[in-house]
Amino acid sequence: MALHAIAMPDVDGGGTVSGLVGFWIVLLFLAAVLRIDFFFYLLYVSIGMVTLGRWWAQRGARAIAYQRHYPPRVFWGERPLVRLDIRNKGYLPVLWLHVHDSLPIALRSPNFFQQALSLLPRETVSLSYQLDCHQRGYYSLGPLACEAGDLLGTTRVSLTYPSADTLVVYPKIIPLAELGLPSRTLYGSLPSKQRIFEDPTRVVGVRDYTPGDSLRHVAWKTSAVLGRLQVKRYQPAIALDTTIFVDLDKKDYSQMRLWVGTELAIVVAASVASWLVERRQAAGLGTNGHDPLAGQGEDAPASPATLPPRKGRDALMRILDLLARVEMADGPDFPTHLQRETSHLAWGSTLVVITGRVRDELFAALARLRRSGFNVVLVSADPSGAFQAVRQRASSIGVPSYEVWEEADLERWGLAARGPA
Amino acid sequence: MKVFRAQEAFRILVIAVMMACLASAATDAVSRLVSGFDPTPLVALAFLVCLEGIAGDRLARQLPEATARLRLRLAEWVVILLLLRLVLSLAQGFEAFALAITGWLARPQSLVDGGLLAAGLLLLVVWALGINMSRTLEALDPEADAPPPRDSAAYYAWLTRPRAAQRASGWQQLGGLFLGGGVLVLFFSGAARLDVQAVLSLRNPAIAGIVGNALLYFVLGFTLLAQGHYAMLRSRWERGEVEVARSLARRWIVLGLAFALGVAVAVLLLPTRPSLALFRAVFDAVWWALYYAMGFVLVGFALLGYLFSLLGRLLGSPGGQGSESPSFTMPPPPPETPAQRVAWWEAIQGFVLWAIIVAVLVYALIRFVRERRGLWSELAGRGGPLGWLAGVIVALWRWLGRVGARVGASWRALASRPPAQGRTGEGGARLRWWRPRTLREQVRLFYLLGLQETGRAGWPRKAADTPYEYARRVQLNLDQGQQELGALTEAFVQARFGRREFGPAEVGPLRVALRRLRSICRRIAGLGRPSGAADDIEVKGENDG
Repeated sequence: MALHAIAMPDVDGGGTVSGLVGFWIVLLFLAAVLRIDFFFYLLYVSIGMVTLGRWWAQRGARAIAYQRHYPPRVFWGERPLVRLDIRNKGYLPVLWLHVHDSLPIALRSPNFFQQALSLLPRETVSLSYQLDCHQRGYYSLGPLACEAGDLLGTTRVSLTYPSADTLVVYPKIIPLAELGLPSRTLYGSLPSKQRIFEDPTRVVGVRDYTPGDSLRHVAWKTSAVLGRLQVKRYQPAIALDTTIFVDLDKKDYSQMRLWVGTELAIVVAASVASWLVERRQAAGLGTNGHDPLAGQGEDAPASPATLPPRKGRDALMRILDLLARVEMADGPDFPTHLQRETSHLAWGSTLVVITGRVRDELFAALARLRRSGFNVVLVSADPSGAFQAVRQRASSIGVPSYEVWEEADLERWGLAARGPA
Repeated sequence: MKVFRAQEAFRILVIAVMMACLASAATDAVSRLVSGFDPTPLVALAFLVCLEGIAGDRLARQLPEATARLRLRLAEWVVILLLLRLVLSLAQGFEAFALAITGWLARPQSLVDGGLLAAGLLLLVVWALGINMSRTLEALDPEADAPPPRDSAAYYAWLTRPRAAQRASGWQQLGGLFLGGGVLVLFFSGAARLDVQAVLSLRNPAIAGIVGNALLYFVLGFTLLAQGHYAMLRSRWERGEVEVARSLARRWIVLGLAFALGVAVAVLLLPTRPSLALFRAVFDAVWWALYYAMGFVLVGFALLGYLFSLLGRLLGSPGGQGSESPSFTMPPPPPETPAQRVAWWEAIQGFVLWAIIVAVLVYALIRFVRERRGLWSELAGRGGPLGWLAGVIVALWRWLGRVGARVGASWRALASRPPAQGRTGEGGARLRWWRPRTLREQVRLFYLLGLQETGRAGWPRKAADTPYEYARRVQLNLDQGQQELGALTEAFVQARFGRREFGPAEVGPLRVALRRLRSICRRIAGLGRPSGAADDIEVKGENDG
């Protein structure tokens, strides 16, 4: 926490100092001519009040430190309490201090918190305010600016503390019932109706032996009890290794739904990722949006690196972190990005492609992915009036497609997906 | 509407006590002229009159009609004068009071006399000054009434009303009232103590001692100014909807009073008699220095004379045989009169006092010139003797500004020596220009000294050279010292760009390497480089690149 102190002259108090200077000169003259010790004494008192007051104010202000306590990550809709501990590290009291903490407008209106207070030596004052986290994002809290001064208003000291405090507000997560995402990955934990994906660790019963059954699947104990050969029946299961790709290229959204559509795409991605992790499936994330933490140099990557599918809460937190940060951007082109970022993904894994308007180039890319062995699901967060045509075209290349116009659609989509599945 | 708000009670009391101090100073001066006059009841009355004046003023402002206000004022002053009459008579004792009552009954016009008029004038001053101070403070305060509803047009008008300018002028006025009252207090205090004849003859003796009422007036006055500043800040904060901590007002009062009293106590240690002791001490020192310098010169002359006489004897000059060795006598030491002896504490006191006086004068002069910057330019533009004088002032000011800037730049350059890496904190900023170099800094210094030597030998470093590029370029031209230069460069890069900490065992060999490199480079510089060597280097450097 760096500290800067800039002493600035106070315009309001300047007049009094001017008057005092004249008074000092008269007093000095009288004291020298009349030889009254007390006049010298008064001269010292008045000079001391001004000069020591200025010194006190500047010295006191430089001993101020602060600490901001807050949860660094919050979920959408939470109202976290930020506690600001203002501490006087010095042995001089701080007569007055005007604290002004700048905040993002998306988190608080008005977008600042301010208070005037005084601090005794070594005293710590805790100030607190609440934030309204109804907009996902990666926010910087501060900078904190303080202003202090002396008793007579002859000086003011302004201090600005550069902010290093950041807050991540996760995107809204809509609980989904069932999505029915397709997969070809074996040995997972999700039950499947395709018997080809039987899991030998999940025994659900036995059946009579038929020629051709593997001897390794014979249930010997049951066969001994029943007196005829029995074979174990296994539950089919799949692993749903899913990577969600979110298109945040501005040109893939209509101008009217640019902000709403991209935000909705992020909500869809967060909800799907949460649904997958809740079911102990691996989830990954790729996007062509702009990540403010991805780098700021000229050679910095245009978009964040794709998070490979991983299981567990940590993976979800990483995905939500990235989804909280990313912003819409001018490129890179989504189909190209998709092609590049899927090259290292495992065969048979599922890709949930969330975009705005579906372009011909994207269809071509989806078809290529499909041929490469991926299960692809298409979600449009900015569907045009002719989405039926898009759906038919996607269906023709084996890609189920969904349209999401608003958040409620996401819930309906989950329910609808459960029905046919 | 209330007459007083709770938070104003302290300020009104302070004003009343200040006015009582003013009255006390005036009655002190009167006591010198009127023997047997007891000033205490009058001072107490002044205190009460001030309180009544402030309360009456607030009541009067609540009355809608001018006649009602006038009636209130008249009634107020009749009561004040009646009380004053009683107080003045009681101050002379009960017997005199009984006699006075008899006289008043016989001759009602005897109620008014010179004493009543003078005391009435004093109370009028106290009354008016107190009311004005209170009004000014009230104007500085945030408004008592609540703002209009936010969604109304009146709120916008309320929000954009021109209050800041009024407050600034009110603040100036408060300062003026305080200082005006202060001048009166000083005048009366001086009049109570000075012998006018001695003052006019410029041989008045120094008057020692603290004047309690004047000191109290000034201490409370500064506290009142501080309250005025607080009121202004409070208004600004309320305007900006800044939440103000509850403890702030109370602490402002306590800290303001404590600070004023602390300063008043602390400055008791400072000298109050302008002394020439410092100048005497300096003159004495200079005088002794001259005395010893003269002694040395005389001894030198005597030695020379002696040498010449010896030379004369050796050469066998006729006059040399009988000549005697020259003799010299020291001049008498500076006279030490007991009156001129200076005690060291006296010298320090004198120095402190003169430093304060010079600081006040220099500060006043700077402000005087700076605040009239436009005037000087205008006068200089008009020409004539006044214009010439203004031109001189402007030129002098600019010259002083340039000198100040140069001195400031030198000082900053001296003070901004970068702190050692890894040594941060408050201690690093303090007196860092004369702290010893750290080992990392020593390593960097060795390299820079090495660069200096190689530059003198004819291979100056170009601005675009990296340390390694430069080392490679120079090493190609050196028969010896390549290893030393390489070691210095490597260590420099680590010290400058890395986080590595060096130990004394590593710095020692680098110092030896620098010595060797220096001797090699000086040998080359002494021999002179072969012609065209610089071109060779350039070509090699380009090829390398």
